[in-house]
Amino acid sequence: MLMRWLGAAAVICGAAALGFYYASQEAQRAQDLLELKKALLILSSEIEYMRTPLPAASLNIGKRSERWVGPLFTRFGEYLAQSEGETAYQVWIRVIAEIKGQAHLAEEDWKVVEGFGKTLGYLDKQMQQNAIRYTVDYIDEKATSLQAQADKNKKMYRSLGVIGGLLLAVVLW
Amino acid sequence: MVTHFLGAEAARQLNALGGDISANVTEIRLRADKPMVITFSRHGTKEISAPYIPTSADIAETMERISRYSCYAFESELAQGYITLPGGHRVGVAGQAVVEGGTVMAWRHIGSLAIRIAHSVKGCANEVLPFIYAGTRFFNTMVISPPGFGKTTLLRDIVRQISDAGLTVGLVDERSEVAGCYQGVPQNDVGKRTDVLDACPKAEGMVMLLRAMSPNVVAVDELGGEKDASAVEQALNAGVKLLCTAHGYGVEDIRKNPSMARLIKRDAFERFVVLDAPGRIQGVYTKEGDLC
Repeated sequence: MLMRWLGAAAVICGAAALGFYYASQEAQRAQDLLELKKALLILSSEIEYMRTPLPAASLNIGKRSERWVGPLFTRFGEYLAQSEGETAYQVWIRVIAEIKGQAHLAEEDWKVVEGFGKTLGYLDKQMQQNAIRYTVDYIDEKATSLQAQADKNKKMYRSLGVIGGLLLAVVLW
Repeated sequence: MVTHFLGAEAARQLNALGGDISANVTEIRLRADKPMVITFSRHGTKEISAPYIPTSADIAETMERISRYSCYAFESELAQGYITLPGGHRVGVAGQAVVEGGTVMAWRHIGSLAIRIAHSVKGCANEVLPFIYAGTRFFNTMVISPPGFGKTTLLRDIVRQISDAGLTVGLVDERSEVAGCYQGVPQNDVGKRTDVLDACPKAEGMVMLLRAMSPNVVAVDELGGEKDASAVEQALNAGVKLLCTAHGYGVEDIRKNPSMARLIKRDAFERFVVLDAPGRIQGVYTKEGDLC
């Protein structure tokens, strides 16, 4: 009997954890996007006021960023500095492939992040700023809707997890 | 070396030349759909046409690396037709210009790159130094030569030697060719008492140095415009000595430039060092035109 109770508790806890995990996913994605926005705004300032070359600017941003964005820019800056024969876009894609597992972004986000890489390396100041602005606008829009959705769905996912766990425990009893 | 900034094929061509030639390369020219041309110095200046024909895309990618993936950071230099690599190597660009109000703002397409390799030749100023720096006295000096004869190399060595000998030198390195600064720190040896204003316009730089750094000697490369002449006058009025270079085949060529003629007329320069071949000093002249 004790084993039954323990098993039921494990099923309920597992399902509840799954509910909490799903509830946090949208918020994590929004936070990851906002961290990228912060990095892009620093890059924008480095370009506008300091004219810092991209490898050095990326290393600066890497040091000042958290979550997945820190490794993204640090490695990008390091690889650019050592690069022989690669374009900035090729280096950007290589780094993204390496750190993709550390972020909570959706496929549509990755497309925008990868697309941003296509603008790196050859644009003048104004065009580079426009490219940054486009990506920041996407993040603003997406993060706002994700946050609203996360607030709405948070309770639902958590309740579903707990109730689903209870139901499963009853069925398996 | 600059191979880091070239494409893989151009770098391979350069390395294939062999150590003694590739170490003496003075210029690399890449033109879209034309063979790569490499000039080197060995018993005189020689040129070879390498079996590599870059495409427009190759030139664009090389440009991306040359600008360190940051065209935005070099807009003002590019608008003047060049960009400088770490180490002071100058890359000239040509192609289809974007012009606004009669001024080149940017390049729509770049079709040619001329990469001039900077060489530090320590001791190349030994021959002229006794004539321009006697005891503790430094004479206001102008180095005159056509492009490619080693003005900048000579300037760099004079700066290094007088700086190490005890003079505080303020160097305005507008094109980053003399000191070859990277992130504000000289990569070439310009002496232990040299302060460098990197990528700073000459005229503004000279005045800033006077105000801020108390130099004994102000050094500038390629003097020419009216603003430069006014800044030189300010420096001379402040009692600072001057070391500069200018394009020409002799003092008479320099006199054809009205701003420089004005400076010469007021005896701004006490010594003229004239180069008549790459690395060859034709003579050092006094302000009266006598050979030292």
